[in-house]
Formats: sequence, structure tokens, C-alpha cells
Amino acid sequence: MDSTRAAASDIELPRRIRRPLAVVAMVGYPAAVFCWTIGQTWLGLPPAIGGLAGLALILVTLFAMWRIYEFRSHLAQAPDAQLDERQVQIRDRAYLDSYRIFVGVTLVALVVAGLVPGILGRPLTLTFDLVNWFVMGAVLISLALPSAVVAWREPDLAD
Amino acid sequence: MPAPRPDIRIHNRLAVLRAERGMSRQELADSVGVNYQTIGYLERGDYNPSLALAFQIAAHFELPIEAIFSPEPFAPMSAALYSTTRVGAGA
Repeated sequence: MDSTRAAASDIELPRRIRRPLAVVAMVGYPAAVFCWTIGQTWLGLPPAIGGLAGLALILVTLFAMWRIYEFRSHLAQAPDAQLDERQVQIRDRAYLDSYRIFVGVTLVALVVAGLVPGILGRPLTLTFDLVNWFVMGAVLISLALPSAVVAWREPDLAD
Repeated sequence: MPAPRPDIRIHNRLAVLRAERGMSRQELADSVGVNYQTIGYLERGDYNPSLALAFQIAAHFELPIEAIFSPEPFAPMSAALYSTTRVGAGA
């Protein structure tokens, strides 16, 4: 690996900033979809407010995803040739944990989607938009999840 | 099924050897082909090196591997140099 280049492009963020960014990257998109769909249909959120809030959440989410992606020279997304043995271990563990988290959250989301309409007494109609948002969210979050895991887990550099 | 692997911490003298030779972490990292942060992780004991990396480091310092890495904590250098009794002899 080219450690000089890696060191020069390292982007350090303290953990107190990285962790909130990782959370925003993960929950921002579902919150935006909530503003656009359930918030308007179930909670009576005005469309203009719901739409703007959703758009703002998407922008904040994309910013958070970009920041955690850049963390430590794209450590979570880098190929083996750009990493040393410790970094490869960190990246591989992040991918394994991402898979576990993704499967777990998807299962919980499916159960919640099945239970909530019954509890609230309102039907959940599956529209093309809803399925589209779900698929887009799954793609977006699965891409950002390894970066979020690394950003959450890595300790600050101590000297 | 194999028994669960215990977490073994590998102790090392990297910080002392690097200080002796006036090397920065970046210089050592460049010479053994790892990121400079990995040297910090090694020195703090937060990461155990692979056998290949341990041999590379030993070759870099021109020392036997057991002089740099050990599963047991190293005695302080002053004790090793000046003590009249063997450290860890139990006497």
C-alpha cells in the first residue's frame, strides 16, 4: 500500500462528531420518507412543510454520508491494495456487521410495517412510490452502512 | 469444534526502538508498508501484528523477533540493564 498517499489524504473527525453523523446518515432517509408519506397522510402534516422538511433531511443525510465516507481515506470502501492488514480487518468486520445490522433492521421494519397499521387502525397501502422509496432507501443505506459502522466504532487517534 | 480463541495481547518494544533510532511513525510505517496509524495501534497494544508484519519489523530493526514482540510484558529497560537479580525469577 502507498502509506504516504494514504496519510496525506486522511481525513480525521473526532468521534463526538463522527457518531452523530453516522446516526444522521442512517436515520435521515427514513425520516425524510416519513415526512413525505406517513407524516402527511396519517399525521396531517401540510404537504409544503412535509416536502421541505423531507428535502432538508435528504440534504443533511447526503452530507453526513459524504463526511463519513471520507473518514480515514475511504477506509470502509477501499480495496485491499490501498489498505494494510489492520485496515483490511477493520473494513471486513464492518462489512460483516453491516450485513447483520441490515438484515436485522429489514426484518424489524417488515414486522413493524405489518403490525403498526393494525395497532393504529389505519391501512397501509402499498403504492409504487412507497415501494420505490423503500428500495431506494435500502440501496442508499446499505451503501453507507459500512462507513457508518467504521465511523461509529473507530477510536480517536491518540498520540 | 475448536475451543474459543483466548484474546492474547502481544507486547512490544516498538516505541522504545523507534525513539532510540529517532524515527517517526511515518518513517517506520513507510519502511514496513503499513499506514502510520497502524504503528500507533501497535505501540498502544490495540492491535496484534500478523506474523509477516512482525518479521518485517524485526528485519527493519535488525533484531530477533522475540526482542521486539512477546506475549509477556517486557521488563523495563533499566531493570534489564542494571538489576542484579533476574526480573521475573520470583526471588
